Amino acid sequence: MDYKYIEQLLERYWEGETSTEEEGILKAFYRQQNLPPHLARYQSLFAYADREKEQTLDSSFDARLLQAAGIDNEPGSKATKHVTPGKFTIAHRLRPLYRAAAAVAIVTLLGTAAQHSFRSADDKNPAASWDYNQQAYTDSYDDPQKAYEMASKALLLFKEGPSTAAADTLRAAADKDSHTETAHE
Amino acid sequence: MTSTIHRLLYTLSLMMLTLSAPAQKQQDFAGRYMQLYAEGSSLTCQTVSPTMMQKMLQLTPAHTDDATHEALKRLKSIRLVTQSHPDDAKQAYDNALTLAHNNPARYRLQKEQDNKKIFARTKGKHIIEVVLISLNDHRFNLVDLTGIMPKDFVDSLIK
Repeated sequence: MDYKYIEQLLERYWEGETSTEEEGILKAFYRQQNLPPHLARYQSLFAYADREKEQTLDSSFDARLLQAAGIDNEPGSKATKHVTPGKFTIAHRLRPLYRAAAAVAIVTLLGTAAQHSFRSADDKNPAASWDYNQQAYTDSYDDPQKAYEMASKALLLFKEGPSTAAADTLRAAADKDSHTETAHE
Repeated sequence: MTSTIHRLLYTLSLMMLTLSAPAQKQQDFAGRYMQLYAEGSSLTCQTVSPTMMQKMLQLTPAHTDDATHEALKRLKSIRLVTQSHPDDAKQAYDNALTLAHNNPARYRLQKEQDNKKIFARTKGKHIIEVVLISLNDHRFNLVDLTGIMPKDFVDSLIK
């Protein structure tokens, strides 16, 4: 018998150039019992492929897998409950957006409520509405009488034009006073 | 679990910021003005602090006049900013107006007459800061009064 065709197929098989049909021919050839010695050495390879193809999962595979995963497979347990896949609607997709909007609304509501309560407190207690930092004020005068004179002249500026004698006096005092705040402060 | 804690902490810190924002200590107009423009200039600022205001109110009536005394009772502090160089007065005046106009929600124009403008900051039912910005004959003046003042206080100052 001439095995030249089989030998050519084998060579092409090793090169990875055979088609599915040609591999089928090789497998069918190696299912024979009587093979020439120089070709018989590859029988185990093709027999193995055939053997593996017949392998299937037995009925206990699922149970063993669930057991390995630590999931109870008793009837009535969660694992055996029938679960229908839920529909992923637009409402589901927008849920994070709703949550974010709700969080912003809560924070805004609390902020507004806090501001309202602070404002109410200001109305009830006017002194509380003066919200300046007292420590930021450094006196230019040590003498209350001098400070009073400066204050009364500053108030005069509201009534009169700044080119009045009051303004000039203030300006002169500002230039001379050693306690005046400057940019270097 | 970790992301839930992070979300919770983030929300809480946001709430704390929201709640604490109104309680922040504020800077008055003159203080801000000096901070922005005083460096390298000939601007000077005279200050009467809240403590000194209390001392002034304890002066004997012989050394005070009634109208001023009544006005001072409403005030907590007075600041007067002046510009000693007449050439720089216009720039100082414009800077002050810019600062006021850049904070329209805080300082609202109350009175205006030529180069004399009066802004006020209100809180609740009261005025808590009055700012006079004036330029006349190359003289710049900025008077900043803080205190608890009634709504008609500015009118009483002008009269």
